This record gives sequence, C-alpha cells and structure tokens, in this order.
Amino acid sequence: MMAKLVGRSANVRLEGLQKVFGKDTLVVDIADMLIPAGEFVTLLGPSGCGKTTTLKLIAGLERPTRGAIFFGDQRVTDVAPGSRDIAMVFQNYALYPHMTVQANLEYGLKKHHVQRDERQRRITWASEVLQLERLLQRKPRELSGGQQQRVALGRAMVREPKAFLLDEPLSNLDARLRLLMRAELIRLHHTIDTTMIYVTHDQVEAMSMSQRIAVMRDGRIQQYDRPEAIYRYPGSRFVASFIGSPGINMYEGDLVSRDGVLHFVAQGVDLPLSSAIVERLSAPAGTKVTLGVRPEDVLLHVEGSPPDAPVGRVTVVESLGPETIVTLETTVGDVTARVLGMLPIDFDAQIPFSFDAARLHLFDATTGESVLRPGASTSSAKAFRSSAARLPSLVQQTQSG
Amino acid sequence: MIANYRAREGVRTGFIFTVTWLVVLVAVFPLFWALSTSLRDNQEIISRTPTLLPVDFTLENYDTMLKLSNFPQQFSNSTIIAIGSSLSVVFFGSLGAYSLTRFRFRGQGLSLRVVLLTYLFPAVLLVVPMFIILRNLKLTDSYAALIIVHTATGLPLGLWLLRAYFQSIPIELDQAAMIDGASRLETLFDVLMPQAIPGMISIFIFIFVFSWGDYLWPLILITSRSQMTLPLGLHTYMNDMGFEWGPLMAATVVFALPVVFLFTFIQSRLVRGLGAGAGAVKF
Repeated sequence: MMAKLVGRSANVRLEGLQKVFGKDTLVVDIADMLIPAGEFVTLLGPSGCGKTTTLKLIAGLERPTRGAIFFGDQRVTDVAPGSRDIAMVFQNYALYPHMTVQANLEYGLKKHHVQRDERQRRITWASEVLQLERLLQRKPRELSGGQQQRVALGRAMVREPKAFLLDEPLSNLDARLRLLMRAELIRLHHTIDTTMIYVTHDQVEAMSMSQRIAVMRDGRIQQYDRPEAIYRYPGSRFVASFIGSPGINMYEGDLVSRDGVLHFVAQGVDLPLSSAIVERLSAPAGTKVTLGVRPEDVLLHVEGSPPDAPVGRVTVVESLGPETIVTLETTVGDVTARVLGMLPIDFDAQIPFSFDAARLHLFDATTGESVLRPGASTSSAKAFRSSAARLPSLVQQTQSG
Repeated sequence: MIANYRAREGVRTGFIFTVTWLVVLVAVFPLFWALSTSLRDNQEIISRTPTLLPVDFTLENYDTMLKLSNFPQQFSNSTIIAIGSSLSVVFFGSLGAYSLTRFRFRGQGLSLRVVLLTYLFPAVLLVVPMFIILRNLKLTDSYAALIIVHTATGLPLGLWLLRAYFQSIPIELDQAAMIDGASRLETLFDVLMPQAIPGMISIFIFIFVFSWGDYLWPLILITSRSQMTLPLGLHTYMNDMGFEWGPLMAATVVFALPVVFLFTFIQSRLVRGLGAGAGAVKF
C-alpha cells in the first residue's frame, strides 16, 4: 500500500524568475534554481523575503513578471495551477469548511476526473498513512489543529502530485505538536519520496527537515546548499546570523599581517588565524572583516586556561539540561558560548575563554560576503534519506540542470 | 455602595425593558388588530364599543376573501415575483461580490460607491425613466418587469452585504480549490458560496420582504388584473362602495404570514447576516 511517488515526481527549475509588485517593487529575483526530483527543499528567510511569493509562482497562483518555471522538461509558466499537477498545503490549512474530511480529500480528485475506485483507493491509502480513518466523516471545525494539518497533508497526498508545496504548514501549531508534525513530515517524505518544497522562517525546521535549503533575503537567494554546508560554511554574514540558535557571535575588526602570520585584530582581541583558515582565505591583509564564531566554537576554560586567554564576566546562564548557554561580557563585546551539560557557573564569575581556531567565519565588513572558500565537502545528503540507488540520478539531474 | 449600584442597575434595566415593550406594542398592535378584526363578523367590526378580542369568533371573512377576490392568483403572482427578485439579487450580488473581492480592476472602489449612490435615490425619482425603459422593452405588465425593478433596487444592498461575506472568506480557500483543479466558477459555486450562505439568506429575506410589500412599482407597471400583486389586490377591497373591512383584514393577515414566517424561523441567520454587514460598511 505504501506508494512511492518518486517515479512521478519531477525536478523543478526556476530560470531568471522575477516578480514585481506595483510599479517597481521587486519581490522575487531568482537567477537560476534547481530543485531535484524527490528532494525536500526549504525556502528559508525572514518575513517579506519573497519565499511565499516564490512558492506561489511555482504553484501558478502568481504570474511571474519575467522568467520561466519548468517541471522536468515541461515549461509550466503559463499553465493554470490546476493543471500543473502539484498540491499545496497552506499555513491555515484552507480546508473546505462545509465539506467532510472525505469530501475534502476527494474534491481535487473529482475535479481531475479520477475514477471512483481509484479515488477510494487513494483516500484509504492517505488516511492509513496519516491515521485519518476515524475522522473521514467529520467536518474540519470538529478537528484539532494537528488533525486539520494531517487532513491538509492528506488532501495533497491523494493527488499523487509531481511536487508538494508547503507554505509554513507548522506555524499555526503549538510547540509540542510542531515537533510531532515535524517528525511526521520527515517520515512522510521518506514514505512517498516526492519532491517537497517547503517555506518557513524557522531555521530549526529548515535545518531539521530539509535536504537542501535556499536562504532568501529581499527576493534573492543568498545561499542554496545542504543544511550542513550552510551551517558550516555560510556564504554571507546574513546567512551566518540567520542560521543557528543561539545566534552566531559577530565582531568587527581588521586582518593584520604580523611576522608572516595573519591576525584578526579588534579592540581587545588579537587572534592569530590557523593555517586551516588561512588556506581558505581569499582576502588580503588590511581588509576590514567581520569575525563570526558559533556559540559551540567558544571554549570556556573553567579549569586550566591557555596562558594568554582573554577573560569575560558571566552575565547570563541558561541551563537547558543537555547544554548550557553562557553569555560573557568581554572587551570585544558580548560572547555567547554553548557548553555541554549543566555547568555550575556563577553570575559575575570571571572566566577565561578562547575560540576554536579552525572553525571561525570571516566576512567582508562592507559587502557581508564570506572571504573564506567552503572547506571540505560535508556529507552529500542526510544518510537516512539518501540511498545508493538514488544518488547517481540526483547527480545527473543536478548536472543537466 | 454595592446596594446603591445594584439599585441603579435595576432602574436602568427596568427603564430599558419598559421602553422596549412600548416599542414592540406600537409595532405589533396593528397586526394584532388586523387579526382580531378578521375574526369578527360585520356587525361586531362596525360596533361603537369594540372589544380587544372577537366576541363571536368567525372565519367567514376568510371565506369571502377567497371566494370574491382574486386572492389566490395575486398571492401566487406576489410569490413568484418576490422569490424571483430575491434569487436574482442573491445570484448577481454573489457574482458582483466575488469579482469585487477577488479581482483588482480600475475604478473598483469608485464602482462600489456609485452602486451605493443609486441606493440613495428615492424610488419615486426613478419611476418615470424606469417606466419608459421597460415600456420600450415591451416588458410592462409582466412578472419580468417587477423582477427587474426589484433586482435593480435591491442589488446595491445585496452587493455590499455579500461583499462583506466574501471578504471574510480566506483567499487560500480559492487558491486551494484552484490547485485542486476547479475553475473560477466552480470555486465560486463549490467553495465560496457555501461559506456565504448566512449572508445569502439574509439578502434573500430582505429582498423578499421588500418585493412582497412593494406597492409603488406594481401600481405603475402592472395594469391587468391577472398580473396584480397582493398589495394592489388589497386596494381592491377599498372601492366606491366603501371599505370591506372583514375580508380586507383577512387578506392582510394572510399577506403578512410569509414575512412573519421568514422572520420567525430564519431570524438567527438574519442577525448573523446583519452583523457581518455592519462591519463592512466602514471603509
């Protein structure tokens, strides 16, 4: 009964896609983007960055001002939403309030002239996967938020579409349910293996669910890569600050060459750069840069510190159980550190700290672009969702696009 | 202090209660008197010492009304015209409201205000031009004439109220239906209209009541006896020979029944409809 839709799913390609609202408000401007068939790709960005508009352009609910959209080899830019063979899950679910769950699931199939037997087969399949069997005769208002969410997913599933489009589908749920549904969605994608394009402003959702993330800002894609790569090698200051919780520490300073060694120098900080960083560096000495340090790359030396380690005063301690977030007040500014376990740290204590020299991020202070080339490749996809059989086709599709 | 407050609250409630009941009494008494009169015989009707309730209860007036007048024909004419006008306003109002809330076009706001402006004209101003138009179309003295006129008169209200309803329906429902493969009309009929049912019922009742009770337009547009509506028919009881109070009051009571029925049984929906409309009138 577990149907795999990968055979039907198509890669989605956006080519020179632009959307202008009014006279000159450019809300989407994407030069080129390929969403490989069967992948879970997230459009991530702050509100107003154009991610939902991009999704609506793919759905056909908005018409692009310029550019083209392809599903596989088929150009769909001028194809009506109902004929694009896609399904969409909305933030507010958009279930038809006057229809039962069964009728909600069936409506799209009827409009596409699917035979009665086949309709029933798909509804049975979707309601088994999503555990909707007992809810089929209820109206949407008689369902909880999570149940409505599952019906919305079911309505998309029964269509057996080429691509699923999901517009912040978890944002109306409470925190506990959101976690549950996140896991459900990952499982669902694993089960049906179809292309999923997911829009969210929540970087945790994006990181935990996606195989690829497109970080968007002001209508443009800032970086499009595997979640691990985006986290470890952010291409810009914006991407670095948007991904990660608590946020990355940022300090303005200069690259200074001294005795043949490059240093990052700021007020109260003189940090020699490790060879691992210098190898990847593309900016000359004298460049004004922003240093980025992830909280987990800040090392607190509670016992036995390096001799010249700077010292910070503890201002905030947040014990979360498996980890503790410590904020220090230092000469360079606030430093947030993430340490494993629950540390007995007192407020106002003076603690020496240092940065993991191999895992620093450097950005051009003016443009915000990273001045480090990406390092060694991270794993190409999350292990549990990529199989040896699928990888070659993925690579081929990526190259052909 | 508390006792004082309670006493003041009591007086306040009592006052509002009294005023409300006075208004209800003034409004309902004529209807009650019509009902009461329709159940008396002629002697009792013209008696100089009237009683509140009939002394000799009789249905004779109803019998006379049905036998002597063209009442069944007029009742059926009125019903066809009122239902026709109401359905027509609901239908065209829904289409208009859909386009006003779902499309953007030049002069959208202006068109809405102009529509409202037509509602502000007293009907008498429109009598002559409307008569000429309908005469040129050879539509006078027909159901169609009254349905067209009542639709034209009621549509502004229908459009405004239904617009408020359609505005409150999330656009995502349209989008979901479109992605499901529905055309615009299918979206309107399958998905949006069912959400606007309370508003559509309210408009239906409003236009029904207006069309049912309208005297002016039938007087101008209807000439033959067979096309007469009930309000015109009622007038035939007042002739050169005097007033036939008994049958007139019996006809009045039957005339009022559909309206009373509509208000009694569908009142809750009507209130909801008004509530939605009230919010929408603000720009």
